[in-house]
Amino acid sequence: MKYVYLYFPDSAKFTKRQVQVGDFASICCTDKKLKEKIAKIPVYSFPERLTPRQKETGVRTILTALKVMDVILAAFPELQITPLGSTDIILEFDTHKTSQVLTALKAGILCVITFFGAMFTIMAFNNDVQVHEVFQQLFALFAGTSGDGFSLLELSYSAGLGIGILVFYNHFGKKEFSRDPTPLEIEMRLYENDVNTALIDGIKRKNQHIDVD
Amino acid sequence: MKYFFIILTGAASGFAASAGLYALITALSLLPRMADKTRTASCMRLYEDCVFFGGVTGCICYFLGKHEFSLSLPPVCFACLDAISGFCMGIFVGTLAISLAESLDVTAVFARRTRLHQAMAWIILSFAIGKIIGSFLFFYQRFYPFR
Repeated sequence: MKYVYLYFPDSAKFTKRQVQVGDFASICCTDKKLKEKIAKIPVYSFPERLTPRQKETGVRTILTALKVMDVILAAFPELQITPLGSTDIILEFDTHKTSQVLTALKAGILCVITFFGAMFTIMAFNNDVQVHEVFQQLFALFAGTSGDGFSLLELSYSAGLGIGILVFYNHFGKKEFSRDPTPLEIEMRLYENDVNTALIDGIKRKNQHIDVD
Repeated sequence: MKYFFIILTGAASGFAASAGLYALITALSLLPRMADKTRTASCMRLYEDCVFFGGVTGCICYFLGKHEFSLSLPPVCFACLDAISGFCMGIFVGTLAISLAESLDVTAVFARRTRLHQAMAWIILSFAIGKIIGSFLFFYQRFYPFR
């Protein structure tokens, strides 16, 4: 009896049609030759003919860990397999190459949207809660005279706002204030996890996933 | 001493306001959604910087505007700036609005209640068109105190 430990990731991307166990799973086994043999076992191949839409967006399918184990056991019935990690693996087939220029362009457009969006939100917020009137009252309280509407108070408010955002997002450009990932990066990971879960549930509900019979 | 208090209050209120407002934008995971759609998740930090610059610029613009300060740009320049900034602000606010609704699972609940999963795409489209017409009417008919 030989023991094999397999680790399955949540998702894997492929540019070739044939998928072998070693392409996505990490294998842990004392027998190096056996490990190589297991890694070479084919488990799935993406359809040869793709519709133009599939060529554009790529193909997604879900492979259950059980199916992978089933295929391995068919080749090596004596093995004792311990699966770790994800029980459903999202396989993505995408030969479509994304051009650097297009990505940069998209990022640029998104930057402009974000910039103006952030600008709009703070202005709308200031207007909504009438910040200028509060500041005029505050200025009168401190200085005794009514200010002209654009004093140190407003300037330092703007600066404080910037510092607040920097502290919240935890970095400025490439300079980080601490080693933690930024809140948006955390949100991004959470969002990706949600997308993966939704994808798996959706495909499983349509019964299009690849499972043991 | 007077200036010390003024700067302290200003900076502190800015700090508090930004914490609330931009935490909301982050919590709605609006930027992750956009980054995912454009497949530019690696540029996340760039977007955060843009939020920073946008926030500070917007704030300064707001007070300059209240102060009746004007750049007095030539017509072509300000028309371009109006069009670009308006369009981008529209996209951002549109996404913000739908994210806010979506954070309460409105479409999911609605689809389940009405059992109209197939028609959901059309319902969302009508939602968007309704927003466009509503916004247009709001400004065209001056539904706000116009100076």
